Amino acid sequence: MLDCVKHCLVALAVLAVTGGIVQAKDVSVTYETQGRAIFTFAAPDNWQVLTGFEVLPSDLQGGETPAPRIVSLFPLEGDRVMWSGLWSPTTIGRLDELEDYLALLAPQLLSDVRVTFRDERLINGRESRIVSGTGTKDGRDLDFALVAIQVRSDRVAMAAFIGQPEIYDRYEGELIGIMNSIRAVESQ
Amino acid sequence: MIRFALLPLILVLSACDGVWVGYGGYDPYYYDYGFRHGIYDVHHDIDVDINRPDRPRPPPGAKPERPRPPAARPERPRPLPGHRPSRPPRRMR
Repeated sequence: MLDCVKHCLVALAVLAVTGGIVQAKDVSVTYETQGRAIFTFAAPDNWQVLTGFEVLPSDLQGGETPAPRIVSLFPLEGDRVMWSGLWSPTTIGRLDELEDYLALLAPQLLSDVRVTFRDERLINGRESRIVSGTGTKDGRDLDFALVAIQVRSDRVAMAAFIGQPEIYDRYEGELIGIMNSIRAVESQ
Repeated sequence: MIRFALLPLILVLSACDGVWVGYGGYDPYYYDYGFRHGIYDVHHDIDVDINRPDRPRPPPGAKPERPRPPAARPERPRPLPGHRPSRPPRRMR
């Protein structure tokens, strides 16, 4: 009987290790790219964090600028269409360039994009811009909200939500919490 | 005796498998793939994917998970062009 219990415990331990899902538990996540820590944010309880990947400049040809690492976040529960992600663009460094960047970005993410709200504010002492609105993807009407924060003199942190309106309503507290948790990492 | 002792483990494994495969009938990785590569597109002039001509190729060295299409859903009437139900703006406050 004792052996059997041991076997069960070992099997459960293996299951826990190989489960493949990393659950965030009130953790502070540091966004780091190309060896530089750029900003931190708090991942909500019971959300899955996908760290994405990045490409080293040495893997690219002709001095091409690497694409940024994109970190995705999802709540683990429920049937929903949503995506939220954080990244730091490698092609812009100032909020002044945000409009041009969004003009390129928006059509890549959604069709029929309409901006319904813009705002400028300070988030944790940093200049920030908020853009939200509506669009469609795969025939679905979706809402989006995007925040850009000047976390360094030459780096902008981006956080975006795209999803069904009712899903935004359900997770509004968590999404705003993520936005307000973004803090610049001071130069090392 | 051993079979009965292993029964809870079998039930746990079965439940985990059901949750993972079912996942509420929605595959979050499909949208994750699409939106990630939409962002990559802005930073790269990316060639098409060999699997889907309209898919951008990820940066060299990257091997993202292959997306699965979303579950089929019934057709619904499309709104007229320019028509969209009004919703309050997301003020993020």
